[in-house]
Amino acid sequence: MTAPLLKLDNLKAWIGEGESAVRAVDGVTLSINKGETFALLGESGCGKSMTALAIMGLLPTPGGQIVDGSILFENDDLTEFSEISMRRVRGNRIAMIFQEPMTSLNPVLTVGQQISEVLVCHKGLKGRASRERTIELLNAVGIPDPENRINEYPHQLSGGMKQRVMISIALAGEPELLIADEPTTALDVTIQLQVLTLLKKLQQDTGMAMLLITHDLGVAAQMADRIGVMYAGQMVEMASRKNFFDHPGHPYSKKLFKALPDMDKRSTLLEVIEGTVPSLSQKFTGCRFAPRCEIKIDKCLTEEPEWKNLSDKQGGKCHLLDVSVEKSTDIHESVDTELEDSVLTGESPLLEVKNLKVYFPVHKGILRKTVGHVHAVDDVNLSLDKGKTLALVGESGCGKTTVGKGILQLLRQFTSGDVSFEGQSLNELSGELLRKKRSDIQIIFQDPYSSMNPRMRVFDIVEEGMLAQGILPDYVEREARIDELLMQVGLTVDMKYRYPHEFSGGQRQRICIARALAVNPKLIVCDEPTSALDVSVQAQILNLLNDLQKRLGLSYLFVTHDLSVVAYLAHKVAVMYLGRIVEQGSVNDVLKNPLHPYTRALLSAVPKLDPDSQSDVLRLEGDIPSPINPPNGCHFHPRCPDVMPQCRDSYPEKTGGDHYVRCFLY
Amino acid sequence: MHRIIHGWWFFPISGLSILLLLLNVLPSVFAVKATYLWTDIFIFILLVMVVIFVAYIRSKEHLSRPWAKVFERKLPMASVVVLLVFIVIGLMDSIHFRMPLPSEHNETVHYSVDVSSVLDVLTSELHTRDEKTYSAPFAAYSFVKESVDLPGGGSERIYPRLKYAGSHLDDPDKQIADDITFRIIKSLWQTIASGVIFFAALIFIASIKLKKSFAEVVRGVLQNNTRLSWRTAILVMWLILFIIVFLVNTSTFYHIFGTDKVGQDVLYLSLKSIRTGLVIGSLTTMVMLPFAIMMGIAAGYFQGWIDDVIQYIYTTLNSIPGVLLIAAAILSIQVYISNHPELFATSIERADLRLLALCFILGITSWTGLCRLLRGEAFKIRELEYIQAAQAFGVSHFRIISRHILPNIMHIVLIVVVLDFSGLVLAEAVLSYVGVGVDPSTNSWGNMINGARLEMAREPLVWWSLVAAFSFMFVLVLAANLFSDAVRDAFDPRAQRDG
Repeated sequence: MTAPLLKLDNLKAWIGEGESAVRAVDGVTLSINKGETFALLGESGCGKSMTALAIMGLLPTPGGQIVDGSILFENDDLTEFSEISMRRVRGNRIAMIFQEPMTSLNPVLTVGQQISEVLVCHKGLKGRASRERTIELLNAVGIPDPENRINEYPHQLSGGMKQRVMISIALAGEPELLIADEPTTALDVTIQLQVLTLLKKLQQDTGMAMLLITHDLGVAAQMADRIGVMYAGQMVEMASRKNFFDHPGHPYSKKLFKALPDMDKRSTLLEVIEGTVPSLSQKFTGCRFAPRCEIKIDKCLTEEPEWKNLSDKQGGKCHLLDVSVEKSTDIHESVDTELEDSVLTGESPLLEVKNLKVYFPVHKGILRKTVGHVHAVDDVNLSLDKGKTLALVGESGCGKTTVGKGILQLLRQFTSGDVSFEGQSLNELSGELLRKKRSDIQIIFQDPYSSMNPRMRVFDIVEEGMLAQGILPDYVEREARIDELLMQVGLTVDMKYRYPHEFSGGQRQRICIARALAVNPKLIVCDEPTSALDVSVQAQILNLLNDLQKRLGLSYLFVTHDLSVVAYLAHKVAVMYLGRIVEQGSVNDVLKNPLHPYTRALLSAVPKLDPDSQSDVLRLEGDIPSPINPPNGCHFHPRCPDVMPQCRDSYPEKTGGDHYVRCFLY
Repeated sequence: MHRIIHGWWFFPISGLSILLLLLNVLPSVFAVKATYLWTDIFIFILLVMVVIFVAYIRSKEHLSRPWAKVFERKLPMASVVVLLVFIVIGLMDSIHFRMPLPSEHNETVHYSVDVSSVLDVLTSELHTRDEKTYSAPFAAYSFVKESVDLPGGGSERIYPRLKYAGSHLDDPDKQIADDITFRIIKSLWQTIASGVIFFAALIFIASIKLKKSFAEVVRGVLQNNTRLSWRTAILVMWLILFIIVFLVNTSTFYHIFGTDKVGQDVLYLSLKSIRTGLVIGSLTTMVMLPFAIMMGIAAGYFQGWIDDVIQYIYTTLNSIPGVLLIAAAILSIQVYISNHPELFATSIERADLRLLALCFILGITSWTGLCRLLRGEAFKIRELEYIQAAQAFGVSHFRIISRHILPNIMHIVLIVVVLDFSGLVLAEAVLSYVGVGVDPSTNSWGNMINGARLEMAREPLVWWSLVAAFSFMFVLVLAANLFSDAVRDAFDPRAQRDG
């Protein structure tokens, strides 16, 4: 075996000084061979990105510094390189792509200028040669019509295209190592699949090594040769892909797998890792995972574990490596059967949406004349029974959030169609009557940071809806109710006088749930409530939602792009594409027997944990078209693998009953 | 119940009642007739508002955190101390009264037509000792030659001795340097002595409050281990104390900044100008804020035609040349004042109305910038999810604005107010120079500069009025700017992200 391309030896990169320094990377050892893909897995705040920045010599200044360890890149110790010599390494021998393609490109330079910048810098190409090479690179990353695209500005490209451009910039220096920091997290699943496939192909063509940073086990399973799991600034487990996915060794890795929602876990509560990743600005004694670990022994709290190798392909940092963690989960096993039985008979649905349309006008010119409409939601029909969950699935920009807001009557001036709740049409209500009715339908938002006023205490936040709705006008009763609500969502009573910024993302989401529950709603619109959270925290929130549904008989309209959450939580599923529902049915029907080509593509684009099962992947080309100007006929036809001539002419009608689809194939 | 007793308003309300009581009692104690000028009233309303604001902030942890960040640093702490000195002088100059005239008959007391302030009383030594005309700083001789009758008959053109400055010296040419050195040394040890006593008392009080030993607090201050930057504050206070002691020791014997054309002490004029500068800087903001906040939020939150109307108003207002508008308004006010002499008992009341009018007109022309900023911010905030959550609860527009939007734009208001302050102080100087500023009888730096303008062509140069006005303005504006920089750093959400 040849020497590894990159070798980190006990790397420590801290930010700040003294006792309170953030130990972002605290003793990471890893090696990457030529042509190999190494995936760095972990939750946010575990030091994955910091490791990458340390390798690139881009630690945040002032404050960031490498305090110990070495970074050997082809036998050069990068920690000893000066800034000037590092500049010759960056973009040339090591390149990096970032998570957010929207902000990684300079909006005032053309795509061509940004790519040729690297060529001029590292390859000495100028003029025609540089232009030709740029076109070649754009071709390589699969951008159609590169001769014209080269003169376009980033805002003219879609998110997936931008990420491709980023990749081509990274490739321009012909690096030996590519660091990809969550390259697909900001992208939709179908686009994610395109980008991952591209990365894999490029790697095969050029033979470069790749350090892939991700929080998504599925992505790691698809891409990586070897996997390293990071926790609280340390590497806790390292293994080959097969070993890792067959039998993860570290308790943390095991828990990560168990916390993932999917269909088989429907009947049970998800396993959660209690608590959150600890703050890195402290001195640790003992194992860093110990406070959250279920199988910890006394030794874990006092003594930091040494690195142990299970085999030559797997090792970890744990006293109890490879001790099985089988916690009994039977306590909640029984609940579900009861729920399945409680199918309501003959009652009218709680929520009935008929022909909902939300059109946003597009203004242009000085006089702001309406020149067109964004057909955000176009003729949507839904119904939801009491105590059930309806999942609304689709990629970004398909209008699923707008449906939620339309139901909440937050976009009344743009909405037409009928939303009736408990048989009463909400569109006809106005003023005080509507205001009273608002307590029945509540919403939980995606971003737990922007969904609470930072200048109000938790108490005031939860109290607000009660005051507005006149629930419990007596202060003492109200306070008691708020305490009860906080307990109900798994917080403690003494937290009520704190401000939102003192809470972690998961706790904030709990506060948002408490706020919604304060007005005794019957329906909660959950707008991607877990997509900003880490896997382990997501499991906590999903469990909570599940539990509340059973205890309070709540209905959820669950807006999400994550099909595994849908499989775990939903009873009915509606798949949206460009403002219209293309398929709807019970969760079993839709997920196990998808009919619409789009649903099938969505399902197959989700990275599977078992890499071998990735057999017949249905790849979609192109991006979601603009909803201002949707394609004629079936909106999906430009991307559809089974397109027929009639698809271009008219939009297909519903086929099927309870499980219906709008496609000419059926 | 405990919510009321421990309410943050407890302290300011009790303070306010004591202040009102004093206002009623004090004039009769000193046998003077209190005069309330319009600007005085506004200044004290503003003071009360600031006190309430400070008390409120101190009660809320999330509000006081950024302020603590401001005072942790040395430069802002130093500039706040300097600003406070200016403010105290300005406040002392805002308590006006009329002295009783000595009367022969006992039944009715007549009051002087001259309105004095507390500052006038404290500095009476300065403004009762007018020379004939110009004299240079620390001079004992007049700046202008005069014909003096010689004792033996005939006359000679010489620089005569000044009436007051240096009159205690026999031979100023030889003694003056020694005299001043002596006074500096005397001030120095007086400062050190009084400072040690003063700060020891301060630290003693702090040590009781913090429940620490005296030595511990002293050590903390010396090593700058305190949470706020108290060491800097004490050093700056010491420096200011020295300046004050030095002024007290010398200003009664010399004209430190010289005298102007009619022999008035320039130091006194500069001190009197502080109030004008502060009034312009703060009252204008008070006039402007309601416009800017209400219109800005309304435009950003409601959008639609309300937004269109408000945008139309401020775009129109912005395109009118500001100086022209101010000139027109000031001139018409001037006409009104001259036509209604019966409304004003004293000349100072007349001048005060013009000062107030200037504040209003400056305020009315300067709210557009802040309004535009607030509109944009309200526009952004109304799209945030917590506003939508509030709407989903059926919370009324008024409550959404007052509970969600207003607190979240206050940092912008604060930054703009502090930044604008120095700009307005400078604007007053420019406007007075042009002739559309404050009344010529009002002491202001602008008027001082305007008066010094003609003297710039003199040979030898009369530089001290200009330098005095310039240095006072410079110190005030620099302190305000340094402070506002720190405020912006602490409150700008882009500079800090807690999450």
